Amino acid sequence: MVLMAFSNSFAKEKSKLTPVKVSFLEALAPKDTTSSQRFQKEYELAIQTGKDLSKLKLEKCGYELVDSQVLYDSSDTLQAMESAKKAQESESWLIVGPRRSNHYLLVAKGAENSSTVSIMASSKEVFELEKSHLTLAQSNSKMAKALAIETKANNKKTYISIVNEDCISCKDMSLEFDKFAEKLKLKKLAELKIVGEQPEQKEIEEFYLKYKPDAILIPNYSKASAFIIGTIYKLNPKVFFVGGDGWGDNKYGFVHNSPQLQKANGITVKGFPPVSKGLNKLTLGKMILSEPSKIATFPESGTALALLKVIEGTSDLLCQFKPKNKIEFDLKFKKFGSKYFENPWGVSLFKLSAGEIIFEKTVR
Amino acid sequence: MIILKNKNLQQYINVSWLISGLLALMATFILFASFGIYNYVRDSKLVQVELDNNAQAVSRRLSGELLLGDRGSAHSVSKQLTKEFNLSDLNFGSRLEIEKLKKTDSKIYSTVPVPFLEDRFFVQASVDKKSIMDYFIFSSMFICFVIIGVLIGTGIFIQTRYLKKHLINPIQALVEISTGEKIKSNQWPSEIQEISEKLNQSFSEREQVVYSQLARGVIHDIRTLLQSLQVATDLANEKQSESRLNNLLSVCKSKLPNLLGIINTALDGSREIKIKPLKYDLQKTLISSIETNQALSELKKVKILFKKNENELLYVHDPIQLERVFTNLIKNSIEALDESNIENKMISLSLANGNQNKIDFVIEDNGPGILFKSESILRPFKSAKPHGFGLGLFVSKKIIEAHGGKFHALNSQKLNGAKFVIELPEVSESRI
Repeated sequence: MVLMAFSNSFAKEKSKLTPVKVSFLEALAPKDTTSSQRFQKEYELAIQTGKDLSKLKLEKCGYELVDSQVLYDSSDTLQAMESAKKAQESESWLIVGPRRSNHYLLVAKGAENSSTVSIMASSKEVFELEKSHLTLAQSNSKMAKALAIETKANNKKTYISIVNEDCISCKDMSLEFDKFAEKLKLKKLAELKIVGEQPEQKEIEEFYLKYKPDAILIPNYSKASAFIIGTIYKLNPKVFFVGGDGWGDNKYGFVHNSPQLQKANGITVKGFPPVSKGLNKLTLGKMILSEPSKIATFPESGTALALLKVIEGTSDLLCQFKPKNKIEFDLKFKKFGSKYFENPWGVSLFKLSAGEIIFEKTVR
Repeated sequence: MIILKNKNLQQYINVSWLISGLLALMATFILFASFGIYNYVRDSKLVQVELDNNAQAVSRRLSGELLLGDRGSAHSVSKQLTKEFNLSDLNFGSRLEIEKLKKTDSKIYSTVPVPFLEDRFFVQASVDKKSIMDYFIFSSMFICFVIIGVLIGTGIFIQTRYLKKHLINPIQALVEISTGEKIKSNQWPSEIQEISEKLNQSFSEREQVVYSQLARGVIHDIRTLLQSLQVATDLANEKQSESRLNNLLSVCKSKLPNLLGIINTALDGSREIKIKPLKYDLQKTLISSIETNQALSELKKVKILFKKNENELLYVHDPIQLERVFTNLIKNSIEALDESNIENKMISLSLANGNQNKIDFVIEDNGPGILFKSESILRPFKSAKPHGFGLGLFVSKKIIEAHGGKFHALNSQKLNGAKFVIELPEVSESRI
């Protein structure tokens, strides 16, 4: 009888929970089926892990996290905007935007009146958006500075840039790098603008052979970067590659997985450290580290870390201010969101050594 | 139209395969042309649908860039999309700008508004039209033609060899059956085996019939004459008066030519008749025959009507052989009339230059006529007479044919009896 009474009381409590709808939007590259499927699994498990670990806390605060996931084709950027519009119309309290800046800026356009947060978008415009649109990424300025200093430290004196023109964040990173490089007396010889993930190989070869620099800045996403590195690596295996946060990590990036880059060397930068070093900065991360057996799958990527941080930040914001509806949540998010959705990890430098992307250090 | 007449088997086979080959070539050509046209029409529709879909995809990609304002890379991305979607041209701008762009007939166009920016931007994508000639795979057609050619050639070769082995050779062998040989082979086609069995049986039966008819006709006549001779010689053996002996001797003398005639006729029916042509008055030959039958016709009270031409009718022929023919025909008519109860028995003879330098001889009577199918009376062993063995007309026909002429047996409409027409061609002097 006592048990039944307790059970009924719990059920009543549960029915009183306020559902908080959170829409997760992310772009996949369906042409790389295996990579996309692996990333999608990691993405979904990270959300589930975050929900599971924060469930008790949220219930105590009277909330229940209801997630909705939209995974779309990365080549169709407009879907980001359309999905965001739909999420806003379906009364999502929070929209967790995609990693790429181009996509996230469209999300912000599609859901102007909603609270959104990107897990990795780092272009200048992202940081210039209104306060209801936040990002967990480190600014390109910070990352470029760390990269430039490290390049100089590797005794490189000249460099060229090969930049994806259709990637805002890549262009920003290149510009920011140029600024710091100039201060550090790193000489920029030239810049080649490319479009797409498989640019003209011959054009890249000719460009490299024309300047033969000490270092090559490739601040692009991992697939295009891997293609460029592979092209130039064949001409000169000793060339030093400098990458942005688009290279990805050991698990999902194309740079690491390319068999033709087994001896490629360089440096890259990210807004996230390796999972093993980043979890202890999160309350949910500490729960995982203390009782790893309680979760289905251990998180393995920076994306997973960021998603855990988003869920943790959302839980903290909800429990702190107890908003009754989306409107109240949006107000609190706009006012206090930057505190709850701040990157706690700083800039992490990684080394590309013998084809492996290895964590080097965190720069504050 | 290919007319085949009196060609050898090889030519028939060649022509049949040639027709098949032409049909196959035409069919192949029609097939290729149909496929080409079908693919062209289908692809033209598909290309437009594909272009429309690509234009939609392109407009979405460009929309993503244009929505980013100055930071977007619509122009660079459009170049990339042109390559990615295999477009010949890709333009975007306001509706007015797009409408001002020149269009050519060699391209297919698709114009769509840019999503979320419909009031400001339109995208026009185009691809090159494929020529209809691109859809005709001439190399494949040529290969097919070569294959058909090889097949036809092989077919001719195989069929010629095969037919020769399994059809011509057996048929040639079957001909030998007519010479009395028993021919049979288990390797022949079943139909030919069956025919060979029937032919073997037919010739055996025919031989029996021939033997029976000869026995019934020739031998009977010979026996009758020999019996008369035996009676005459038996009587002569006894004591007879001189006048009686002379009488018996004249009987023997009159019977012996008949006996010799029967034997000659039988022999002529079985061998090739050789003529000794010479330029001679054909009327004389005929008149000689009439005179030979003069006594008989008077005895049988048969009137022979023949109007002699005053001019000679010189004609290259064998007078002895043709006289035999005329004599036989007149004698046959007399005997036929004798056995009938007709009054005013008469035979009409005519000999005249016919059309196209022919000489026509006609004999007709007012007898009972030919009772069975007219022309069959000319075959051997066919006779209307009770004791005839059916070689007289057959031999006559052979003689006429040896002269290059034709021999017809009819029923006379003029005299309501039998009618025989002999057409003799004009023979050149060189034949003499």
